[in-house]
Amino acid sequence: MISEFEPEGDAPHQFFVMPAQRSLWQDAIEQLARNRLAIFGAFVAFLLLFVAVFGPWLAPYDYAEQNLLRINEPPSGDHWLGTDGLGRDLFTRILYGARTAFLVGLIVTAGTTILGVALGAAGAFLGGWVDFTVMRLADITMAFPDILLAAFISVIFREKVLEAQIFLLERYGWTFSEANRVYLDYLVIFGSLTLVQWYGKARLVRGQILSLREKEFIEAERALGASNWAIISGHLIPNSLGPLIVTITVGFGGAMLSEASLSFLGVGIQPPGASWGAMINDNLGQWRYYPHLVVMPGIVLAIVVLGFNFLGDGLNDALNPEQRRR
Amino acid sequence: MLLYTLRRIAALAPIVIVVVFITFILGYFGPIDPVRAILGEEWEDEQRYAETQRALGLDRPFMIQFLDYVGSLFGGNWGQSLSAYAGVASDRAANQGRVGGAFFGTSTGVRQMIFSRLAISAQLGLWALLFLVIFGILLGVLAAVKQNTIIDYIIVTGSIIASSIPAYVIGPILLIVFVLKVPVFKSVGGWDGMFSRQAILPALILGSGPLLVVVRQTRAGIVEVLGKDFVRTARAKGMPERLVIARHMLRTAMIPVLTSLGLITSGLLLGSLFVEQIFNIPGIGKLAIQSLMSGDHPVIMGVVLLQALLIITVNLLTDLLYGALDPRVTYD
Repeated sequence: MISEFEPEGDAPHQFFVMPAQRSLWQDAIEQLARNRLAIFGAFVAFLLLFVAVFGPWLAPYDYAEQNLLRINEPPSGDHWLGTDGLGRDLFTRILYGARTAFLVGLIVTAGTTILGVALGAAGAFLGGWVDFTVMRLADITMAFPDILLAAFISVIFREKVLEAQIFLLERYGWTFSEANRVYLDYLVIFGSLTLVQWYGKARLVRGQILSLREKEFIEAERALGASNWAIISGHLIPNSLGPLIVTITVGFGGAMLSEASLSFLGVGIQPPGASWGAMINDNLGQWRYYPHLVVMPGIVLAIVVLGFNFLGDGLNDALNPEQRRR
Repeated sequence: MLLYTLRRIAALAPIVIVVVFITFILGYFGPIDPVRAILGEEWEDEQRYAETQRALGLDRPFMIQFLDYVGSLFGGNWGQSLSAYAGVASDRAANQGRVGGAFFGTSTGVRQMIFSRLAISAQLGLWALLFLVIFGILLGVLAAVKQNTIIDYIIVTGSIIASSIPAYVIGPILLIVFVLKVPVFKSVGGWDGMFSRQAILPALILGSGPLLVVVRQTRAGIVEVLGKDFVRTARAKGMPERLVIARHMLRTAMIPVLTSLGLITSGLLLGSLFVEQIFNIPGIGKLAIQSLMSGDHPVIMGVVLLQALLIITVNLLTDLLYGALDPRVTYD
C-alpha cells in the first residue's frame, strides 16, 4: 500500500541522467575561490578576526604600558614596530586597534542590519504611512553629510553617556569598569554610526521585497495556495539574502573605516583606548621626524579596508550573478 | 516638466524643514552651554546665569527658539559662533596655522565664517574635480576599450585601491614620500592660493576619492554602446576610432556619469574634513573640525545645514538634468 504513495520525484529517471543539483551557494563559493582579490579579502577578514580575538595573548606588551625612557623609537628587536610618543609598543597598539576596529564593525553592523532589515521589511509589508515614514526618514538621513553628522552626534552622545555613567555610579554604585572608560567610547560610536548608517540596508531590503513580490514565481506560489509565511521564509528571505550579505560585508568595512575616521577627528575612541585612526591623528604632528608612527597604523587600516572592499566585490559577483559586471 | 519640477520641490519642503529641525535639536543639546561659555567661572552664580540666559533668549521654550532660528535663517543670520563670547576660542587654532590673513574676517557670524572659507575649499575642490574628470573618464574609456584584458583589470583594481584608502592614510604617506624621500615639495600645508604648489597633493588626494565611481560608470557606459549599430555605422563610414569614441560613444555613455558628478562636485567644493586637516588648509572642513573640538555648535550646525541643503538641491537638479539629457526619460 505504502509504495503507491511514494513521491515520483525521488525515483531515478528512466531515460535521462539528470545533472547533480547545484545550489546558488555552491556556485558562489566556487566563483569566489577563483577570484584572487576576494581570497585576499577573505584572508584579511579572518586574520582580523583572529587578531581581534587573540590579540591580548599575541601582544608582547600591555597596550597602555608606557615606558617614558624609550619613546618614539624606530623598529627594533624589543619593539617590532617601534614605540610611540609615550613609549608604548606600536605593534601592541596596532593589535589592540584591530580589536577596537573589529568590535565596532561587529556591533555597528549588527545594529544597522537589525534596524535596517526591521524598518525596510516593515515598510515593504505594511505599506501606507509606515512605508512613507521609513522612506522619508531614509531620505532625511541621506541628506546629511554622514561623517560630519556622526561626529556631531558623537560629541553630544559622549556628554550624555558620561553623565548617565556618573549618575549610575553615584546613585547605584554601578560601573562597567572603574578605571577604564573606553567602553563608553564604544557606546558613543555605536550609537552615532548606527543612527547614520542604517538607511542603506533599509532601502535595500524594502526594494528587494517589493520587487520580488511582483515576480512570477512568487505569483505562482500564491496561486498554488502557499501561505504568506511559506512565501516569506521559502522565497523572499533566501532570495534577498545575497544582496544583503554583500551589503553587510561592505558595511562592515565601512563601519571600521568610520570608526577610524571619527577617532582621527578626535571624537571617537579616547585615550588610552587604541584605535588606528586615533594613532594616525596622535602622531600626525611628527610625520617628519617619526614617519613610521603614522605609516604603520595607516598601512594596516588601508589593507583591512581594501580587503573588505575586495571581499564585498567578489561576493557581489558570486552571489548576484544577474548583475555581474561585464 | 514644469509641473513635475514644482511637485518635486513641494515634496522636498517637509524634508528641508525636518533637516533644519534635526540640526537645531543637535545644537540645542550641544555639549557646550553658551551661558557657561560667556560667564566662565561665574556660571554658578544663579542670578547672573539667569540674566545671561535671558539676554541670549535661551530661557524661552524650545519651539519658540526653533522658530526664531528658522526665522533668522531666512533673514541670512545663521547664528553667532560661541567664539564671540569669552572663554571659547574656536578660531584660535586656525590662526596658529600658516594661513593667509585675508581669508579671515574677525566676524563671528556663522554665515560669514563659513562663506569666507568656502572660497578656499571650492578652489581646492575645482582642482580635484578637474583631475577626477580628466583621469576618471580617460581611464574609464581605456578600460572599456581594452575590456577584460590586463589593462582593464589594472585600471579597475587601481581605482578601487585609490578610492578605498582613506585620505588620512594616503596623505601622510605621500607627504613622507614627496617631502622626505624625494624632495619635490619643500613646504607643505597651509594655503597659498589656487596656483601654488601646495594645492597639488591635496587636490590629487581629494580627487582620487570618487575616482572609482567615475571610472566604473564611464567603463560601463562605453561597454554598453561598444557593439551598437550607430557605433558600427560611424566606423563604417571611415571615422577614426578616436572620433568614434569622442563623438558617439562618450556622448551616450556620459549621461549617468554626469548625473553622479553632480553630487560628487558638491562634495568636493564643500571641502573635505580629512584632506584639510592633514594639509592644514583653512577651508570649511577645517572649520568644522575646529568647531567640533571646541564644541562650537552654532558653527557645526551651519556647516551641517549648508551641506545637507546642498545635497538635497543637487539631488533635485540631478533628477531634473537627467530628464533634460536623456530624451527617453519622461515625467508625468
